[in-house]
Amino acid sequence: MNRMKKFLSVLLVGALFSMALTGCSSGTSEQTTKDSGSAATQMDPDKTEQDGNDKGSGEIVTLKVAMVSTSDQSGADEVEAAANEILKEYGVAIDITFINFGSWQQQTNLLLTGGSDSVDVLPLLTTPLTTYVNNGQVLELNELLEQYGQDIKEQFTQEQLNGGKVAGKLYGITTSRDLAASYGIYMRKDILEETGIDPATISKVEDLEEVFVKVKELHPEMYGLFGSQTGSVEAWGWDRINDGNQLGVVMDSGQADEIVNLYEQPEYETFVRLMRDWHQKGYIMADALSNTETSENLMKSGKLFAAFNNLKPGFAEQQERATGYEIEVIEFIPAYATTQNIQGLTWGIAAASTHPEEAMILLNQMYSNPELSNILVNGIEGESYVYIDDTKELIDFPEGVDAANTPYTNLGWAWPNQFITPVWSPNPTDYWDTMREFNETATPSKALGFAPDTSTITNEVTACTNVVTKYNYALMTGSVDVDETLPKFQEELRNAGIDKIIEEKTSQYEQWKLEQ
Amino acid sequence: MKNVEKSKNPPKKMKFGKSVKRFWPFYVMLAPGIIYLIINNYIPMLGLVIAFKKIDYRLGILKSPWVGLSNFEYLFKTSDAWVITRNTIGYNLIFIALGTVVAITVAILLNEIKGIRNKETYQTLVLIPYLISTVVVSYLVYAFLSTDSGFINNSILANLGVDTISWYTEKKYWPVILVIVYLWKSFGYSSIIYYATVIGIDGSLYEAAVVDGANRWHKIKDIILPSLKGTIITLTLMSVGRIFYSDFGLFYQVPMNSGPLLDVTNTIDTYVYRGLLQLNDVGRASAAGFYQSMVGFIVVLAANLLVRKIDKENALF
Repeated sequence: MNRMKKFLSVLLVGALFSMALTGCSSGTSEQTTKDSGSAATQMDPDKTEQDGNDKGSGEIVTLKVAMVSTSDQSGADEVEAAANEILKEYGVAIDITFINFGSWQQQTNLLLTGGSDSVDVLPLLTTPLTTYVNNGQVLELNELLEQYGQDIKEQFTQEQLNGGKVAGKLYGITTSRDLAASYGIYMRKDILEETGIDPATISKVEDLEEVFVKVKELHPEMYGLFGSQTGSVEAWGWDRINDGNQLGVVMDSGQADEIVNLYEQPEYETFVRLMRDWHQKGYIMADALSNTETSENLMKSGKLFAAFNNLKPGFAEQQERATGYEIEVIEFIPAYATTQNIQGLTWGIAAASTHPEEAMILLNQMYSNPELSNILVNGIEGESYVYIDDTKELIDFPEGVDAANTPYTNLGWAWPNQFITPVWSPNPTDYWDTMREFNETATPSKALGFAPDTSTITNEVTACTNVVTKYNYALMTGSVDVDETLPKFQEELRNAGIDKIIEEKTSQYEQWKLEQ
Repeated sequence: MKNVEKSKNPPKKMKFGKSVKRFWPFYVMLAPGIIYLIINNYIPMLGLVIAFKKIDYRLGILKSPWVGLSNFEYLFKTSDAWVITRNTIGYNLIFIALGTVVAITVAILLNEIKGIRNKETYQTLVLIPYLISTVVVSYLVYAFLSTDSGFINNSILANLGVDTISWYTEKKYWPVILVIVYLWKSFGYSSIIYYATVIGIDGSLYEAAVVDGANRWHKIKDIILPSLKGTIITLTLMSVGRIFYSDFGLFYQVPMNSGPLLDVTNTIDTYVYRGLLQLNDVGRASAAGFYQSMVGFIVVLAANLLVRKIDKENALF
């Protein structure tokens, strides 16, 4: 009996041990498929990665494309198959991985570190292009563009292409969308009409005060003006030279000659004093600083009257769709284009890509081939969109499909070129032309195309970023007393090294100006 | 007489090889855990080199250039360096001290409850705050402290006739608020650990004490607390090792990332997060982590040495 027990216990231990080991190995193989598949789509099982060394022999090179998404793109497989039908004659095929916005930054960092999971072509957003360049994660595109990307060059003006340069070399190609912005306020038209004030009489920000007074009388339960954790408005008439923390800006819509400390400018002080006044009078939401809701959501639930925003053609219609109310838009600062508008979203090729030439051929097609672009932007005809006119210029959802359940969500602004695809109703057929005109008539900032390299001043940037986080948003929402706080803000910035930052950016700027 | 002679020799420690031969089933059971520990905790330590390099993804981690200690500079050069260090250590010391007191008190109270049903109910209730995510907690706090719709401003202060306070822009209240939130959230977990020790105390000790005329307070002071000494020292030494770390959720989300409060809510972790988010600098972020764990390591060693000098039995190693 003892021997039996001993034998059984040995067997059990062995079984336990081997179970632990098998758990280990199957876990890792699951991991690799999960990692390369990511959150939303499955890999097309027929696609195998071929070593396309000789393009002439007709071998198709499969390129991995990463793309941001805001929803479950269930129709992604068909889109990929349709796209590859068109791309066959160019010798390339794509394997798209959709990654949700929430995990975009971390996932792309992993995908750009090289290795078998690495991506070839992707949009560069949320992380600044200069950061990608400094880390050596993206490829220089000048030569590739000349050789294989001639059609891309026809889609943009030279200035718009220059926007994707860092330190004089091209790393990202911007997309077709609003490449400039004007600034103003959007408000609920019905409540504005209740106050009896004619929007045409409002030409300066200060004129809005009488509107707020009336709105507070008529609707004390509503918030007059929007505020949130990120302040009430950004870049209100200055070019922040590619820096979200605005450490060194060019004033006057980018027309001033030098880079200055925004937080010591009289325009800044006037603006925050006005905000503080309005906050104390109750026009701005009291807990603006803690607010994480968007202005659209607050307006949709009937709690908000107005919000500052950057504007573009079709903005009023867009907000009407988002909030469900009729919108009145008033512009205060006319459109101007900065590096940030262009460089904020560009497409590039990963430095670790093993097929850079094919990647550029692919980009060339994505930017210039209307059929391909339509598939990538809108999906499959009949499933996620249908033409509603004979000239095939307008599209809308098919029967029974809407924004919530469509198998393929349109992210036109994020794909390379939506200007060569049909327009979504209810926008007018000449929507793309209006947008192009807006882009080209916007006043270009004098610093357009200049993106400073901050690698020598990172310590000061980190310190100043913390100071800005501490004071800027609070001042912009009027949540703190200006007389007490503004001087402290300015002093702490100086201690953190803002002058060194501005000096460095100025010397780079002068250098860049000479090279233009 | 011979036997007594023999027992005077202390038993020799068994050689490793011999031990494996004799107790091999135990080693086999130990193996998966050890392998996991090595793979998950020790091998990644090689990544510490990132703290001393400037990572260029084209070259990969191994070939990226060394930059010595320059990745550490940003933590010390800033005018905030003193503030964040003071906040991190200060809060942690208060948390350890008050946390231990509250946890022991609750453990003793749990012990006094009559009836097994009641005991179990309270044990569960006490653990619930620990399980709630910090993001949810930050909104619970918001429900209390919101300027226009919060419970405190509307129901309590209004009734007392006091002006409403804009909680999220006044920094003087926040050290107290954060300590209260921390205690509320974590007392359950530690008190269960102390409670486990308390119920292990031999019942006959209490009877002997009663015979000597001890009341409830004497029982707590002279029986329970001394029995808890070992547990207290162990848990405190473990907390002390994390003295340069902070709970990110508690210091970033509960104050709703509000700028004016940064002087009292900014810790090393939140400072690094805020400063490096745009710069995406792996080297600097690793340097911060390295700094925190290195200091924590030294502090644990020092504390352990101290405990050893005072009370040898209770030191961790």
